[in-house]
Amino acid sequence: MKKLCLTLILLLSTTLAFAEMSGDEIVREVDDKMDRTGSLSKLEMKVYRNNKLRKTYEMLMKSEGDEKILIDFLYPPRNKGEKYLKVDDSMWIYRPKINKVIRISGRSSFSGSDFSNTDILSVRLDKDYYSKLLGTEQYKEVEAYKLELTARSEEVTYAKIIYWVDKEKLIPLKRDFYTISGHLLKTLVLERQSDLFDEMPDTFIMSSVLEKDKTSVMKFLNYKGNQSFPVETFRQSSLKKNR
Amino acid sequence: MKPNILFLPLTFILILVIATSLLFAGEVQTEEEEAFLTESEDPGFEENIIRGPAMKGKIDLSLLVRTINKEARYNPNNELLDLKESRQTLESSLTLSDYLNNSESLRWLTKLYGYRLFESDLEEGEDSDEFRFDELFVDWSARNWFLSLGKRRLNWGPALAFNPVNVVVPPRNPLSPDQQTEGHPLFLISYSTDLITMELIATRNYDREWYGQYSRWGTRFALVLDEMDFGLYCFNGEQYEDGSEYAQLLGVSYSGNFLSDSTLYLEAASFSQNERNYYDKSGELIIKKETVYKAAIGSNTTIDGNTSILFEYYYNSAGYNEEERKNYFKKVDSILTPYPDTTQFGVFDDFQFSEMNRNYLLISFRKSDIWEKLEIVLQLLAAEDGSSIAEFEGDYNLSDYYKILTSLKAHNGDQNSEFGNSQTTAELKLGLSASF
Repeated sequence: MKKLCLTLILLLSTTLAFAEMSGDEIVREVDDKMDRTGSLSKLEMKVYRNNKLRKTYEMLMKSEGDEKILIDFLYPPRNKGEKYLKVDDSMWIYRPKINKVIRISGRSSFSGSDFSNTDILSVRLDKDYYSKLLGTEQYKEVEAYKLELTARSEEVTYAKIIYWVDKEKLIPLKRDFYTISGHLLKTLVLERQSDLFDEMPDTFIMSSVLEKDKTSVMKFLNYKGNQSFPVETFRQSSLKKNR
Repeated sequence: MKPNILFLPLTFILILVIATSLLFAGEVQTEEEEAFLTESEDPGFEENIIRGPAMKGKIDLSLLVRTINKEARYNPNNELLDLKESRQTLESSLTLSDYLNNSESLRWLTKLYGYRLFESDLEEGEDSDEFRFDELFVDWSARNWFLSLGKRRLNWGPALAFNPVNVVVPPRNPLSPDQQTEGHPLFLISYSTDLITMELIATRNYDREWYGQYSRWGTRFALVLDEMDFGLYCFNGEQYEDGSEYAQLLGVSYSGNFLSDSTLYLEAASFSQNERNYYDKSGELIIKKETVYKAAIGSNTTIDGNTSILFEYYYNSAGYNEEERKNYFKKVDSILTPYPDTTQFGVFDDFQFSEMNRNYLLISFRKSDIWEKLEIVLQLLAAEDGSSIAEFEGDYNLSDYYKILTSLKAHNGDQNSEFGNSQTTAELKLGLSASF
């Protein structure tokens, strides 16, 4: 009887704990689970137009939290040697052709894909958005939290995001991105296609809503955590030196 | 260009370095990376990560068709330069680099460049081929320290078209920075933290005419703050052969995030000498002993993900006002009358046909992903004297390796303007580019 009571109390407290989670807490928890701090990853990005594969990119990503990310293009040859660097709220691109480091804005397209620079280089949402829990609803046979994220400032890339998160496992499922005028701009579907991150997604499918049949797919091909990088790796000054 | 005394020993050292690295190429792989590779799912991944020599190559085949400006003051009726209305060129480059140790602190890089001009009626003695080492250097880095020795390209400043502080290895054509591929022999030592970078440079082989054996030295201090960065620059050198002083540079730069879709940049520099020639009405030379100021301010704005607009304003205090420009052209005319023979060609070394104005405005519109594979650039550069250069560029990607390049350029302006005296009035360039 005592065991039953204890189990009931534990169950109740767990349920209450989840029930009491605010939108901000849910987003923060999901961000933590998606956090790739101290990792080395190989990514593949495919750009589809009219349902046909048009471009394939391969890149190496070094991450030291959401504040420091370096992406080095490996393929195709015309992009080889290009580097994207994010440090806090600054982003730069190194273009080998002109041997220059150029500051870029977060809203620009990431190498001609449907992702923006922010989509790739800013992983955490809790830093840039206030989150409100709208309720729960079914998403592909999964009970999901439906959240509304609003930008903390005008500088943030998207004015509003509607975000679906698996209620039981706190796994991100889908994001709808809206403009400041309230128009649906893009949709991101997060999928798990391998065991690379256990239950967490490893594939990100971004589709344009305003323009038909434009989709880009970013996939983690390889991942190694617990990495430490030399201090100079994430410096703007290193982009040109280490070309 | 005269041979540089540093170059032979450097070449020898680097050949040794390259040979050594090739010998040990198979061994330079860190334990971390080895473990990573073991987990790899993609066989191609290993090729990309194993630290063998890295390679990048490019071959460009192009056809240039142009209308010669027969009114150009320094090439009247095209009798002086004898430019052909069409030419075909083949350019190729190969960049090789590799680390020399497991900790990846020592590295070499070389970039080879080859050029061939196909013209049926080349003058005797005219070069149709060129081969050179654009870059050949070794780097050493350890935490905050960085050393580099060899022939190297080095660009200063964040501006995208006119670059007042870019004096270490400046582009020969400020509107085509990609043409600047050849480095200079230099020694660079740098100390960086997350916040600051301090750089000291010693270089040679730079003067007003791209010849010489003059020592130059400079320093840069950069500060990176949240959403903005700043730079301070100083560059100086020994005086020229004729005893005139080198124009010492003191410069500043800024680049930062500007609204949500834009970046803003600024470069400003003062030069201790005015190296431009001025003339009075009677054609007498006037030397202005004054400090020259140059500044560029620009903004790059993203309209949607694939469209951007660049504005850049450039100020050059050494540029001519209307009267100075008139007197300058009058002086050029007087030297060209009677028409000079080729032995008098050197007289043009005294003239500077670029940056003749004080104010310039550049507007550039770029759109990529048109019909999925096309990128276009529309650009207009207008000068204070009313002359301009309008340019269209289109790149069509055939595949990941090949693309077709097109550009159409028109120089507009009257005989008394800067761009009205360009060598050509119109240029059409068609090219095929292969990268590997």
